[in-house]
This record gives sequence, C-alpha cells and structure tokens, in this order.
Amino acid sequence: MELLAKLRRQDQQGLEDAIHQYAGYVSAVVRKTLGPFGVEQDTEEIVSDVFVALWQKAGELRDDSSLKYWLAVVARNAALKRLGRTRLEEPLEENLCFDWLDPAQEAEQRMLVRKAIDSLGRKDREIMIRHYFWYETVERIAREMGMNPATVKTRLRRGREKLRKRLEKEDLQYETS
Amino acid sequence: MKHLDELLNETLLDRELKKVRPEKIDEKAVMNRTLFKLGMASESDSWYVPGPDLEPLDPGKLVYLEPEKPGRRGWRLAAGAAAACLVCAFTLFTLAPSVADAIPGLGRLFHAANQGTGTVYNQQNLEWIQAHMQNVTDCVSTTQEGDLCFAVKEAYYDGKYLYCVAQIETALDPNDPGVSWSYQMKINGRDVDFDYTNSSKRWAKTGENTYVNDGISFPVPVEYRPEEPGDIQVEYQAEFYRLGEEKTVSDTHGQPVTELTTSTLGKATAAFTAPYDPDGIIEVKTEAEENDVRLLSFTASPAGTELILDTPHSDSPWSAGVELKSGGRIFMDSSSTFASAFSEERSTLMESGESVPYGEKAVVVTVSCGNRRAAAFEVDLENRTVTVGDETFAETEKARQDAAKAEDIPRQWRENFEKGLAEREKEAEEQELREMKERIKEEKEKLEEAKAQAAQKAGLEFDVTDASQDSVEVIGFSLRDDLEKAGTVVRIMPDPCDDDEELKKYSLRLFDPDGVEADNTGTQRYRSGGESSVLSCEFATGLSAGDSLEGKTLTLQVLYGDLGEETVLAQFDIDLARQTVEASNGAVVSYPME
Repeated sequence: MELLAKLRRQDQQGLEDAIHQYAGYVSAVVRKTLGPFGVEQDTEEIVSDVFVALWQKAGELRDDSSLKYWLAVVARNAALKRLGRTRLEEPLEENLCFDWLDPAQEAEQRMLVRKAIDSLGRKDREIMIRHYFWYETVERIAREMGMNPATVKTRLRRGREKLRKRLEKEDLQYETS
Repeated sequence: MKHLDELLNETLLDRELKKVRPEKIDEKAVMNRTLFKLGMASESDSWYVPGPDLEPLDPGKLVYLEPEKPGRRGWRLAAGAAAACLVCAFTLFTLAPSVADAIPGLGRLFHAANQGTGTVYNQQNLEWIQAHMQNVTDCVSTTQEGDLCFAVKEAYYDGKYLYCVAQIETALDPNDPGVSWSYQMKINGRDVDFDYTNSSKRWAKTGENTYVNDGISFPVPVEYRPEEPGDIQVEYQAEFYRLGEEKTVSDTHGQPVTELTTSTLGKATAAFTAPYDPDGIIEVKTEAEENDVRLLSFTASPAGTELILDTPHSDSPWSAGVELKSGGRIFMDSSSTFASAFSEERSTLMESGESVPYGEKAVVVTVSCGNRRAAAFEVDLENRTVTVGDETFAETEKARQDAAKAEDIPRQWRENFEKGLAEREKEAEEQELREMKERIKEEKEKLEEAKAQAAQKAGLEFDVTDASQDSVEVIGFSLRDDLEKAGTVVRIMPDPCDDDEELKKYSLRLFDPDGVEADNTGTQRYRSGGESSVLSCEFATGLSAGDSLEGKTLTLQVLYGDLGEETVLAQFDIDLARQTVEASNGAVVSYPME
C-alpha cells in the first residue's frame, strides 16, 4: 500500500512506516549537513521536525517515488537553518547571474553545470562539493582530506576559476554581478 | 535570475543527496518526539483507529488481455499460469517451506513476496515478470572484493525496463539493518543514470550463505535505450557496505568527537546479456486529442507506465494523472522525466510512474494544467484504442510515426549535446594550444632580449637578498655526456602556481665556469604541482667533450621580477667534479648528480 496514501488519510501507521523506512536516511542527511556541530539530540530533533513536516504536507506531495528526495531536501534545509548558515566562508566572487527563459532551457543549463563540475579533477571536485554544497568549513575539509587549509583555499579559488572558464566555453548566458 | 552558487546547489542537490547512505538512529526517540510534536498518542491508545485499506486487487480480472495469437504467449495464458503458480507456491509453502525453497523461481518469488519486500509491483505484475525471467548463461564476474560473491542469475529486458534476479554468497546477512548496498550499471558500455529508489533491497535466503534478490527492475531512461530493439549488454556493479560504524575524530578545537561512518564490505561486478522480450509491453498510439492536448503514446509494462503528451507550449501541464477505470483509484500521479519543445508553440512531455495493476482492462489519463482539467483520455488496453468523449481513436500509422518522433527527441538531444560538447572541447584545446604557442614565442623573444641586456651588464655584482632554502630548492641537475649542455630543475615553495602570470615572473640563469652567462638552449618550462611549482631549463655550459671537470663550477641563479627588473632569490654553485650543489648564502644543499 502506498505510504503517501496512508499519510494523506492521516493514518498514524503511515507516519510510523515512514519513520521506520526513512529515518536512517534522513538522519544521515542531517548529520552530514550539521557536520561536527550537532550532537545526537540535535539530529533526532531535526529528523522529527522533518517527519512532522511530512505529516502536515503529505497532501501536497505527488507520489511515493519522490518522497525520499523531498525528505532529504527538507532535512538538509532544516539542518542548515539550525546552523544559522547564511553565507559561505569563501563566497563565489564575481558571481555569475543566469537568466532562465523556460524550464527546458533550465534543465539543459543544469546539465551543463553538472558536466562542468564533473570536468574538475577528483580532489578539486570533492573540495568544491564539500564546501559549496555541504557547507563544510575549510578547516574540516583540510583535516579530513589531509591537506593544509591554505591549499584547500587555493583549490577552491582555482576550482571556481575553472568552473567559470568551463561555463564560458559552454556559452551559458550570464552576466557578472 | 540565479547566482552560480544557487545554481550549483540546485544542480547537485539530487545527485549528492542520493549518494547519502542511511545511518543508524534511535527510531523510537524520533517516533516519540514526532508524535509528541503532533499531539498524537501511540497505536495502543483507545482512540487509535486504523484507516481503511484500499480494496485488494482482484486476481481474477486478468489484465493486459491481448488477442491471443498463434505461436505467441499472451497475457491471458501467462497470467493464468502465474496465478496457478501462486496457488501452488502458497500450498507448497504452507505444507513444507523447504520444498518451496527448493523449487527454483517459485520458492524465491514466494519468499520475496511473502516477506513484504516493499517492491513497487502488484503481486500479479511480479508473477508476470517472474514468468518471463530467463536464465543468464554468460554472466561473468569480473571483480570480487571482500566478503561477497555476486552474480546475476536471471534477467530480461522488455525495451523499457531491465529486470534482474541477483544472487550473493556471503557470510553477512544482507537484510541486517546495519547493512545496505548500492549499485551502478552500464548498458551497452554506457553509464546509465538509473533511478534506483524503487528497487527492492530485500534478500531472500535460499541456502547456506546464499541469498537472492528478485523484484529488481530498472527503468532504462529513453535516451539510453538502444534504437534497434534487441538484447542488451549489461555491466552491473554492486557494493555492500556497513552503516553506522563509530569513528573518533577531532573537532575544530581538537576535542575528540564520535562520528558515524560507513565501510565497504564487498564489491563485485557482473557482466551479462539481458535477452530482449517485449511480450509484456502494451503500447497504444493514436491521434486522440482534446483541447489541443494530444496523447501520443500510452505504454504499460509490468513495472511501470509511460505517457508521451504533445501540448501547447504556453499551456504545458507538467503533470498528468492516470487513474483506474474500475474503482477510480489513482495509481499513477506521474512525474515528467523529459520535456522538449517541438516548436515555439508545442511541447513534448514524457511522464512515467507506477505500473498498471494486473487485472485492469482500461485506464483514464487525466491531464491537468494547474487546477484546470485540460483533457481526459480513456485508454482501452484490450483493443488498443483511446476514447475522448464520444469519439474513439484507433491506432494509425501517423500516430506511430509521431510517437516515434517524440521518443527520438531525448536521444537526439543527448547525441547532439555530447557531440557539441566534444566539438567545443576540441575547439577549446586547439585554441589553448594556439595561445600557448603564441606565449612561448613571446617568452622566447623576451628572453632573447633579456639575455642580450644581461650580456651588456657583464661583471655586475648581484645582491643576494634571500636565498632561503625553504622557498627555493634545486631538485635536479644533469650534464650531457659531451658536456656541452646542462639541464636544471628548481622547485619553488610555497606554490605560486594558481597564478600563471605570477609563476612566469620566476626565471633561471646559469653562468659557465668562466663566469659568463650561458645561453639557454631550451624553453624555460613551468609546471604546477599542487603544493609547489617547478621550473626547468637547459643551458649551454661553455664546455666541450674531453674537458676536465676539476675545479669547474657552474653558478645557477633563480630570479624573480618583471623582465629587466629581476632580483636574485637564490644562487647555487654546482661543483661538477664534486657533484654537489651548494647555496652560496651558506645554506648547505648537496645533491649527488646523475
């Protein structure tokens, strides 16, 4: 039986099933986002917030197949909010601004950005994703990857530059802000 | 308008989140907190009343009723056989579970179904898939690592989905909550970005340390499907890992903290051919249209449903619902997997979702735009017709061509994208090469000019201000057999390599044993090495074959600055007879030469 169908009927069993099925995954997303800043109680608190949101928003969700992704996004946002994370240590200077003309073009441009990220070297890519996606600090990245913080910063700067050049090659429409 | 960092986050969101592996958490604590926040009591409370279940499917209503054709298995026949098998399996298991286990296919299937695997299929659809599984005879395990032996035993491909039965031999219990697995797959040599979220993760034990997983189906994305239907070559890599292992690390203040990590238990790759069997596919392609919305194609397979819609671009719905004709239950609230504009006015949308349950003869496709119902199509799966209002549309050649054209869009798009990408990369490389040649030419000219200027300043005393061996180091020196040329390699730390212009401000200069500046006979080369940068250059020594090296010393200088304004960072005396390199500021560096 569909999980969402139960939740839409406000069936408590649906909530319990959801927690049993997804709590491990949601907690992993929360821990990864919190990094060393969260204790276990924080994680449990945020994970339970996510399932409260699921209970309240079940009627707006489309189908079970997108449920896991929805939970992950909500978990990540909740964890970031808990951290009070509003900006990055290493902002993307000369930030590029993109105009979206239509959803199809947006999908194409996202694929180009993904290709650009994938074109970076393994280490540079990992550092970029750790910092700009998971918001890990330079110190933490340096410690876990066995590098100097200065080297991490250099690689972040270099990664941004490579990304910018790569996107320029792809003829993405942008302007410098 | 979006900034690059926002775009990066949105672009990477689904992929990075999919990579996250579940970890252990106190489910009871989460449950209590959640119920408390919602003001709900537990199941044992008196007010708790379980919600009504949806009506079970009627196995008697056989689905996908295809007109029986001589020599071809029909749905009716196979479904009847599958239903009979289910009855037999149930009886056998009731009487003697070990007997059921011993029967290939039946025991496995029964186990998987009976244990509530959480597969996305209806039971009868699972029976259909099982009936069509074929033994894989050419499965080759290319790698086996760790405590794991993995093989694909049965498989088939229906043109839309790949179905597999995998077997592992392992001492670990793959159903342990602390153990999970992931997989990657290639089809016909190409990496495929599968959606694995609906695949069953349950393993049924079939023998000592032997487990099978059926109920695995992979929706092959349209752009990865071979143009010509046929068998496919599959490379299937599985990785098992343990969740939630504790590891002590230091936090930013150096205090020990416990982190939960994962560790790989085993990894293996199986390569095999999945035979093509489209028997389970029902495709309905007509010219049915309502309110300018066309249903180009409706495809039902045992594991999923696909729709292709042609809609006005300005009125693109981006979602479609499919509901059962009987009972009215919505079984597929689809999600767009691909969308493309035919023109400025029209869009093609591909939607996919849950499979049509076994037993249904007709379904209704409802297309909505916002809250407005744009079109409704009644699809007759038996007669392969579509009814809109009072009008019934049969399949036509034009409809088939339109559907084929639509299916080709993502394939073409991908090919064009990859081709364009390759062309752009090649063009960029050529441009880079041209620019590099230009730069080398300019550098050479500048060096020639600097050399001429330096020659005019013969006898000039250099002020060695910093020859710290912490920042500059000779890491290589070679002298050609005929003694006429020498190669020098110098490392500069810390790394200035993130800035090419900065790096190019470093240069090397060599003086022969007579103190005359030597001609450089090769281009000065720069190389970034991550933590440091390396400069190298070849010089004429002023010596020739047969000369004695006794008492002969070359002087190497590392300079920094714009041309004509360089200062000497470090100076080294290279004693050719003693084969040592010594910093002239007193710091000792000595290298045996080759």
